[in-house]
Amino acid sequence: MSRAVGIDLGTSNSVVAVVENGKAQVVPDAEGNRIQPSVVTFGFGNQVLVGARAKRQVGSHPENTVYSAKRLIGRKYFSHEVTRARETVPYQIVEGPEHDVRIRVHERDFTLQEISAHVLLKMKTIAEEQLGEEIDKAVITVPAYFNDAQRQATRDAGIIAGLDVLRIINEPTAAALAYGYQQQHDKRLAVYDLGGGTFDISILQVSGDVFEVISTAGDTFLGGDDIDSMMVNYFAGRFHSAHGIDLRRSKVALQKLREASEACKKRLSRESEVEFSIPSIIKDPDGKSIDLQDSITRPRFNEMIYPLIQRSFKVVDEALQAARLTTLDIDGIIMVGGTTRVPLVRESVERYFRRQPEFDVNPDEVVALGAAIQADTLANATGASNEVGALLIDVTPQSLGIATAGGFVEKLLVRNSPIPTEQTRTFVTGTDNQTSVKIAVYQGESKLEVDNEVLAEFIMDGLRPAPRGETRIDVTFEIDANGILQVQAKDKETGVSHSVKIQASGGLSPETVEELKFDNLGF
Amino acid sequence: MTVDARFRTEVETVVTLLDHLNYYQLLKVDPATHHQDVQAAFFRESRRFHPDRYFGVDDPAFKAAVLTIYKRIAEAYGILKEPELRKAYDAQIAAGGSVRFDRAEYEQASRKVSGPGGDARTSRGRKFLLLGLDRLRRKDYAGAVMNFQFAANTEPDNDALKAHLEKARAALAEHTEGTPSQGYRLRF
Repeated sequence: MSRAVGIDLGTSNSVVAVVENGKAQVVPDAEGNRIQPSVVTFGFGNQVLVGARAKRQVGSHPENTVYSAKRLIGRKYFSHEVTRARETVPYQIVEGPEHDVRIRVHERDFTLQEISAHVLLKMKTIAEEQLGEEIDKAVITVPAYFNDAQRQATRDAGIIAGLDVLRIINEPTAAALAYGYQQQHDKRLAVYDLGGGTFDISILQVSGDVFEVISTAGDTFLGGDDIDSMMVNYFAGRFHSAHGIDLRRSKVALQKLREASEACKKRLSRESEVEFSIPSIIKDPDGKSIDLQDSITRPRFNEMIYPLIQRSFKVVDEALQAARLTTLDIDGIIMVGGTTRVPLVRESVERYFRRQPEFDVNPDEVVALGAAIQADTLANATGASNEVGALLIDVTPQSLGIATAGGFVEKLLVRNSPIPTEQTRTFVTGTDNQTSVKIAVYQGESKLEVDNEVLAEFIMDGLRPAPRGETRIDVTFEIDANGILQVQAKDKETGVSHSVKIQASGGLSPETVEELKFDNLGF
Repeated sequence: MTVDARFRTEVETVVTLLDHLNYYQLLKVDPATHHQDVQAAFFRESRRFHPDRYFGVDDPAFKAAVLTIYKRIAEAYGILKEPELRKAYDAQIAAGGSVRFDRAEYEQASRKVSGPGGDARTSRGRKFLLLGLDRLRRKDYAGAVMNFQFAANTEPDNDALKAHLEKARAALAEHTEGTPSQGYRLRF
């Protein structure tokens, strides 16, 4: 029987794990590294470097080296996140054919799915080399708050890398699974997941082998990268005051400062004050090199990031409220993501919950371990009644609805509904002799169209001309266990139906995904 | 290893009856059951009907039937676990309505406020609910009990507010046990 792996595809780093002799284990690469930077460098020709070797190129080949692709995947070119990334990253971000995002390297445009596929292929290759067998099945994790477009794009990345993606699962759910698997006790867990780019909180009820997500909430604009940006601005501001030069205007200087800030942040987890210098970070107008020399204390650092950390607790409030629970109902807290190593984060979580987080959880590895357990469970599920294995019951993170007259959104499925699920609603035509309707699918909590995110639009035509209100159309939303949506519209009179695998606008068609497969391109 | 023949028969039967079974029948619980038993029943039925249990079974028709049933089981649980939704559902089936309940439609129709305070239906109730939640956050359990009591008095038929009150009372009892009285007394 072929084995299936679990892959944590992170904003900054990725990890691959597998179940061996009933125990989930991280698969290290040949040099013994357990985590791989999610960085891809394109050389000339077909040469592609991924991981630590690619990360070393950020300084020397910044325009060919793509990092933090997860912040851009499944997003629109004009979104807030993409606009911000365009100002900060040294690689070139361009607009794709459908307002999607492409990365231009050596005059070639790559989709984000392809970039992430290179990272996934690297993880697949590591697993194959270390385990000595072919691996083609995987469970891949995403932030719980990822929307439909981001989930689909991640799954497509897996397919392009040559993987049979058994399931897309949520990172906090995976972490809870790794923590609670085979513990055989009933617990209510809170998973506080602060990664490189995103924040998720999930509240779970663990009951033996069943892991039920009661509620989840998140912020896809909150993570370690934001702490780095704050530090960059702080140091650049001080440099500007001292030398009258804005480092943020030079992409190379900015990149150097960003790397130094990240290193500084990590050292501040252990040290109370950090001094650092960047030799010849920039040249002054006379062509003379200037060094950057600066320092920061932990109290100053804490003061700076405090508002950011506080934002996460607004999200935690929301999740507890949705679950109708208070901090008193929580029996255990699991910390996930590298940013939870920051002392202020740990202290704040402890103060909020009045309880110490579980200490024997590795925040970098726990998600991959959970994904491996789920991969193993699915790969071995044959329907025999005596089978053991974990059962994950997740929820949909955001409400889903369709646009109706007047700029409103009518919800069909509310957030925190257990999945898989489906719902049908009947809509009527709004004008006389209307022969087609546009169905626009929205994700979000607001009643107003403009405040929600449009996932997809499609036209249903061939309706019989009739007075308004007479033609009735049944619209069915179905969410599968991956959290991916499918929409079907059916003319009640003629029975003509339109089944649409909601292809998020800017997403890739199955044919395109097939064409992009690395197997077909000789990687 | 294959799927048990009796379970196969059960799946075939349930899928044909699906539009006649109400949520209680689907979860195999008594309509008077306590909401904690609803969760236990959901877990029990999930262990049997969750599609992941049959992920590797090579029988598309059987798997489609299991998925159809499970989606309805998950829907049933989503409604019955929420006291307010369950009450509205009970009224719907008592009046001979559909065995399915459209949560999104119901919540939009009742213009339910989401976020903190969403459990209350009146502005006065919401005010005390929010005050109570705030007290709870500050570990002032007596203050929380008082405010939730006010909220519950404002909306006597709102079970969600009663649930908040019960929880705060339990927390208060837990935290006053064995510790001398602080002289902070409540009058109701």
